Amino acid sequence: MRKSTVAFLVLLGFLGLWAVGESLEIGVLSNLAFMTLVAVALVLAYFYLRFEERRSDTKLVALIATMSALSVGGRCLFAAIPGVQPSTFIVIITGYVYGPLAGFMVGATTALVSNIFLGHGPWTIWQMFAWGLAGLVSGLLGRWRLLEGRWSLAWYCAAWGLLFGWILNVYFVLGFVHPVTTGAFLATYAASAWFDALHAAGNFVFAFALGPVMIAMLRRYQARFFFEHVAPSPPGGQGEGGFHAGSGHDVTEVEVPGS
Amino acid sequence: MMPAYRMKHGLLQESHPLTPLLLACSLLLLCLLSSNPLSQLSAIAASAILALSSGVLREWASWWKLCLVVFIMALVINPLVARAGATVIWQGPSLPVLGRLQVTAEAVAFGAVMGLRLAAVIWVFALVTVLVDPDSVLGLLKGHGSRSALASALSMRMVPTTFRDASDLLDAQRARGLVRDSGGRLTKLKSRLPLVRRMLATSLDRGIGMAEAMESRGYGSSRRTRYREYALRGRDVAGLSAAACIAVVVISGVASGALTVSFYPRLSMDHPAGAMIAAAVPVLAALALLGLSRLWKRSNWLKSRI
Repeated sequence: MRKSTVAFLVLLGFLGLWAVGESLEIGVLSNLAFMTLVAVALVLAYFYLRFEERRSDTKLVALIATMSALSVGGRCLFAAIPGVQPSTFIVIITGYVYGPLAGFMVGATTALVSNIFLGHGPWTIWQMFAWGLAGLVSGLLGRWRLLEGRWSLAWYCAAWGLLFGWILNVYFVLGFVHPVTTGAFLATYAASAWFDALHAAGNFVFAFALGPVMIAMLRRYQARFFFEHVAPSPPGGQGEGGFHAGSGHDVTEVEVPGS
Repeated sequence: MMPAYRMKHGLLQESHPLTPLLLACSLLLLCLLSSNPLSQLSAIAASAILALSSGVLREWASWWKLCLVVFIMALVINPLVARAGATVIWQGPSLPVLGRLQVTAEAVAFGAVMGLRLAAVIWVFALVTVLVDPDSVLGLLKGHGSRSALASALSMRMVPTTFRDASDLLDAQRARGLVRDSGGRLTKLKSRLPLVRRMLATSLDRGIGMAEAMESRGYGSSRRTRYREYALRGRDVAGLSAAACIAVVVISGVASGALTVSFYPRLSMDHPAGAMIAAAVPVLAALALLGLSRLWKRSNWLKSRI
């Protein structure tokens, strides 16, 4: 059995245990601060293992490192302006072009590496989760090319600016506020509304100004470097030799000249 | 920006990276599993002592502003949303969604303890940041998560290169008169926009070049070998024993109810003596490591032995 499948089963078992512990109010099992942390760690472990199990592709590893470095650099550059950072936008376009897993990895790596410079804390794991999720969902949307327009991409990135803040607020409410009520969530969201709004506005501007150009560039690199050779089919077969360009979801067959 | 890792050659910094990580994990257990204020204070004190033992107390303490902000946030939000508690100290107007405002002493105490817990967790992470070399943590993952660890390590290495590229490109564009340094902010920003495209292209080219270099050296062609840089030594045994001791005390304290505090309807602690003993253990373990660290720094014999 694959390690990622084991991690998924462990996650399901843990969620079941949590539900039982919560309903019966069993000590540690109803401790939200601890249980949410473990659940998020298990989700991250599942996607990391999925990435590890993929066929070795050096270019994809280098691409994830490159896009993460750009994202980390952008985050450090804008660190003085609260909330404004190009990281979410970079994670989204990477996921959109290179697929859900690449998007997730760029998001998670961005949080992990940027916090080496900006400071780790209990938020690191949640930032890894939130940015990873942004990349993952964008990768799924990329399958149907739903964000081709400048405006749709900008609004989508702005929405993720808000969603990112809301996901991060969850760890605060579940771990450090009691009782967990709608009022508790609203009070926390109200306290962070200013930062979330700035994050959303920043994302909108980055996506509107740079989105289509950067997506086109990423696609060009994808077509140039991310392809796999398809072995010629046996004599009598219908297919011919060629290349599959693209990585993950976006696979396009490219005819070999003269084949 | 927060202070990053700097090697000060303290006992814990010279240990196997797992040692400070597991010590931090045991302190995190203490913070997260117990809602007793003594436990939170104990975790903060133990973190401070461990930072002192490696000569990074000043860097560790510089996180106080952030801790204060989150403490205040937890202190304010909890009494606003909690309706429980027998001792009402203030009644306010009725607000939409939140309902009638009512602040109880118990809710304020709970908010303060939760703020303390959040601050303690942040300070434990601060301890990891100033004690553990991020490169060595990624090195630990080499054998288990080679591709993700490689992506993180490459990314960390590429950040300074990215900044250098940006600076070079800006200079080149400026020399060609394409970057405006005068005029309004919008004009300046607009003249720098093409730089972003060039930056992306340069970075991707470098990434692809790096991937091809790795492939040409055989990366991914077969199962990789690895060299174990770190070995467990006597100092690690001391650190790991302290971590195990803290973890055992926390788990037994939580299981036996010694660390339990009830906030509602009235504040009560069932076993104050047990809670004090359980809270004292992490501090004593940290003090023992501090003593060992001082001895270790002075004695060349001890350095050669552990």
